[in-house]
Amino acid sequence: MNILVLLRVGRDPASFTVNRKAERIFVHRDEWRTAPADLNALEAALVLGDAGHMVMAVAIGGAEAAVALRAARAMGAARAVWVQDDALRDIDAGPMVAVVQRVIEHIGGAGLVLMGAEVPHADLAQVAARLAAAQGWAFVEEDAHAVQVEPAGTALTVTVAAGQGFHSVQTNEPAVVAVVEDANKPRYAPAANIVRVYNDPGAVERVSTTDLGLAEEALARLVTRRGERYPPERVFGQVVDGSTEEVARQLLRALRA
Amino acid sequence: MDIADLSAGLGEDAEGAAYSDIWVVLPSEAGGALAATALLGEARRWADGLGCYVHAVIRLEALAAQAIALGADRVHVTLDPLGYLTSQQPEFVLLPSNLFFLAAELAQRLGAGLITDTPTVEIDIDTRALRGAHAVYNGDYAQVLEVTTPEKMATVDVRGWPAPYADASRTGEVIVSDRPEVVDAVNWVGPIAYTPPAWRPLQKAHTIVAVGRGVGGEAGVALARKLADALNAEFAGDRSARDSGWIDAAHEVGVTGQEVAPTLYFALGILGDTIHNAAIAGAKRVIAVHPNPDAPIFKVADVAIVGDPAEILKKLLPQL
Amino acid sequence: MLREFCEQELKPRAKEVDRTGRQVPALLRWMGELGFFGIPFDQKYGGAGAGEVGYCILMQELNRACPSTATIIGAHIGIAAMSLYLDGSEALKQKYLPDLCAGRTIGAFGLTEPNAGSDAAGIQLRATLEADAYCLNGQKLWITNGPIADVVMVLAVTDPSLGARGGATCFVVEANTPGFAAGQPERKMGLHGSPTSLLNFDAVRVPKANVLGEVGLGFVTFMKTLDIGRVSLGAATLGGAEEALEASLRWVKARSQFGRAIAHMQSVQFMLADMATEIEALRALVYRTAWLVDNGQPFVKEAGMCKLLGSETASRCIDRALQIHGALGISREFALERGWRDARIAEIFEGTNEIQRIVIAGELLHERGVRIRP
Repeated sequence: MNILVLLRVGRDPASFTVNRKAERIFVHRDEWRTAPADLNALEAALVLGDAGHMVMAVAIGGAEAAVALRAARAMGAARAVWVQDDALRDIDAGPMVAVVQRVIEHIGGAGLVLMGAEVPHADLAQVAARLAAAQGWAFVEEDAHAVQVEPAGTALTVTVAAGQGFHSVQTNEPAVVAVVEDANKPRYAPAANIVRVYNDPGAVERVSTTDLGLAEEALARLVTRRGERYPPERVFGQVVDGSTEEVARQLLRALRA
Repeated sequence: MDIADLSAGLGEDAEGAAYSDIWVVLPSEAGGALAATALLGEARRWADGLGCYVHAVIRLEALAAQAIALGADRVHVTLDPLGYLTSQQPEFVLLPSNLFFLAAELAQRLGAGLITDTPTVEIDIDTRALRGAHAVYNGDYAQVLEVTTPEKMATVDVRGWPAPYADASRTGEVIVSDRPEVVDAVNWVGPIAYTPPAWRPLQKAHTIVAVGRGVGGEAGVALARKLADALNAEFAGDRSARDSGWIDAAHEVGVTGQEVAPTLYFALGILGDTIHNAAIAGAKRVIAVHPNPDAPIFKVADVAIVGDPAEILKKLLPQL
Repeated sequence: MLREFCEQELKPRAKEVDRTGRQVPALLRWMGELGFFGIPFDQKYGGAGAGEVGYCILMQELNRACPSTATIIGAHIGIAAMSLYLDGSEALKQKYLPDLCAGRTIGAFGLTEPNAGSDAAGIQLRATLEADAYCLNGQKLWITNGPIADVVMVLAVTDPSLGARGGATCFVVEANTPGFAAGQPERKMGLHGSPTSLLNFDAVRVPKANVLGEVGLGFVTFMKTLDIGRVSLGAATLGGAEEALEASLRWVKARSQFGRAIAHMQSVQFMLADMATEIEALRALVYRTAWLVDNGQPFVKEAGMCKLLGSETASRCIDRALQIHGALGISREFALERGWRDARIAEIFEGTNEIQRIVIAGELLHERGVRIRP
C-alpha cells in the first residue's frame, strides 16, 4: 500500500525572537523545522514501511522543503516529492489540500495519508480533515488522535488516545490519519543514508504546480494573513493574596484560563 | 419577520444575495453547548451591525428555546449539521473550537476559508470579511487572518467569554430537519492496552508540577503528586527536593539538572535561586506558591501566591 | 540527526559516564548501527562516505555532548581505522574495515611507549620475523581504547639499525592473539569514560599478512595518520569551546548581581566576546583544513595549526566559562567542570602542542628551503 506523509515546514522557533513590547519579530537566521507532529507521522509511516509498505513524503515550498524531504529519505522513505514554489511557502490550508490531492494522483494513488495533528507555525492543522472531505476518504477524528496504525489487508486499526487510556478504532483504506505529537520517537537516520541522499541529486523529486496541473485559481488563498498580534508583555510577580479559600479559587481560575 | 420582507425593505434582491447570515453551530454535549452559547451573543452583535440574521444549528430540540433567547433568529435542529449546512448558503459559520473536525470538513465542502481557534471574531462591515487570530508557536504570537471567500468560517476559542445576555422575550423560528444522521466510516472497537513509548524527557513535558523545601514535608509532596496527576503533569523538583529524596536526578529542574520549557510550570514551595530560575526561562507560564513573600521565584512567576502550599492544595484539589 | 542524537541520547548520560567511568554498551551499539564508527570512510567498506568534513562535524557534535564518548570514537576512527584506510592493502581493508565501520570491533592506535612519547622515533617494541609471522615483544603505554579494543594498530621496530625511518613497521594486531594483554584502565583527571591503558606484548605472533603498508615504512604511515587525526581533534575542541560559550550565554542572561543581569557587565561581555572570536577563528581553520583534506591538497601545516589553536582555545574558553559561572562552575553537579577536566588532555595527546609548533615551523621553513633538525 502506498502511504503518503505530508511534511509541513515552518521557521524554527530558535531562529527568531518575539519582542512583545516592540511588537516585532526579529528573525536571526533562516532556519526551518518540520512540524514535530509531522515527524511523528513520518515515524508511524516508517514503521509500516518496515513491514513492507511504500512510504512517500511530500513537502511544499522552497529549499527548506527539499531539506526536510532529504531527511525523510535518509530515515527510510522510499520516495520524496518536492512541490517547488517559493511563493507557496506560506500556503494556507485550502490550496494545500488541492496540491496534496494532485500529488496523490501523481504518485499513483495512496491507501493512507499521514500527517501531524498539530502544526505550530500556521493554521494548517485543518488540512487533514479537509483532505479527507475533499477525497471522500475516511478520517479518524473525534477528540482522539491517531497514535499507531496497523493495516491488515484493507482494514486499518488505529490506536487513539481517549481520556486517560487508549482505544482502538477501525476503518478501511483509503483514509487520512492525523498523528499526535510525541506519539512515538522519530528514528535517527543512519549516517551512510544521509551522505547517500545528500550526494544523490535525484533523491528528491522536484515538481512544479504546473507539472501537477494546478491552475492559478486552485492555488488562490482562502485565508489572507493580515499581520501579527502580540500577547501582552509578561508581568511577573502578580501577587494573589487573601484567605486560603480565595487563593484556591483564584488559582483554579488561573489554571483554567 | 420573514427574511424576504427584510431584504425587500432594505432594497435587496432576496434571490441575488446568495450568501448571507451568520450561522452558529452548537455542540451536542450539554456542557459544551452552554459554553458555546457565548458565540450566539457574539453573532447577534455582528448580525445587528451587518443587518443579517443569526441562525443556530443544534442537535437537541430542547435547547431551541434557549438558543432563541440568547440571540438566534432561526434555530435549525438536525442530526446531520454537515449535510444540512452544505445545502444552505451560509455566509458566516461560527463554531466553538471543539467542533474543529466538523468545521474543517464543512469548510472543504463549502470551499470556504477557515480560521481555527481564534479568541476573537471581527467582521468588517464594509468588505464583509471575517477576521480572526490564530496563535502560533505555542502562543508566542498570533497571526491575524482574514477570510475573503464568499463563505467564511471560523472556530472560536470561547473559554473565558462571559455568558451572553438571555432575553426570554425574543422570538424566533425553529426548523426541524429530518436528515438522517450520517454513519461514521470509522468503527469504535473498544479500549486496548497500549503503552506509549515512555521516552519523553522532562524537557518535553507540557505541564510540570515542581516541589521545593517549602512545600510542607512528605504530606505536601503527596498533595503535590496528586495535583500532578490531576493536571496530567510531570512531577519534578529543585535541588532541595532531590536532596530530600522526593525526586531523582532525572527530574531535577535546574541548571545542574534539566532545563525545561513547559507551557505551565507550577512551583510549589520553591524559593527560586538563579540555578533553578535559569532553567525555567523557557516556561510560558509560571505559577509559584511560597510562604515567603520575598522569595526570588516571584520575580519570574506570572502568578505569585504567598501562602502555605499544603493548605492551598488541600482547598484546590477537591475542585479539580 | 547528529545534533539530536547527541543532545537526546549522549548528553543526559554524560554525567553518569564520567562518574562511573563506564560506557553504556547499548548506546555504543546503537551508534555503530547509525554509522558513527565509520563516518569518513568510503561506503564500499561500510563507512558513511562523509569525508573529513563529515568527520569533523561528528567530532564537534560528539564533544559537545560527551567528550569521553567522543574520544573513544575519535581514537577509533581518527587514528586506528584511519591508518588502515590510508595505507592498508585491499585485503587487509576488506578484512577489518567493515567491522570497524559498523562498530562491531573497536580499534586502537598503539604508538606511545613508556620511553617514547613525543620522541616517537625512540620506540622499542621489537618485531622479529620468525618463519611466516612476526613476533612482537614490548609494551605500549597511554593507549586510548586499550582495554576495549578488538584490533590494535601498533608500530614496532623491525630493524633496529635503521632506526625509526626505515626500520619500523605497522602491524594490525587482534586483541585475542595469545600474548597480548591490555592493562587496567588508567585513573585520569578527565575523560573518565574513555578507557586508557598500557598494552603488553609477550611474544605476540602476528601473521605477515597483517603488516600495514610496507615493511620498514611504518613510521611514515603513522605520521600521515596523525596528521589527519589532528584536524578532527581540532573539530572536537571546537565543540567543547562552543558548548562552554553556549552555557555562558545562558548563564549571564539569568544571573543577576548588583541589581542587574551580569550580561550588562563589561568584564563579562569582554570575556564572551573573546570566547566567540576565538571560536569563530577556530571554526574557519578547522573546516578549511577539512576541505583541504577532502580535496587532496597539502594540509600538514594547517592540521598542526588546528590542533594547536583548538586545544588552547578550548582550554581558554572553558576556563573563562568557569569563571563566568562563579562557584557553580566548580560544582560537580554542573557539566562545566567536567568539560574543564576533559579539555586539558587535548593540549597533550596526539602530539603535544610543542610538537605541533615544531611541525608548523618545519613546514613553514621547508617552504623557504630550510630543513630544520628537530
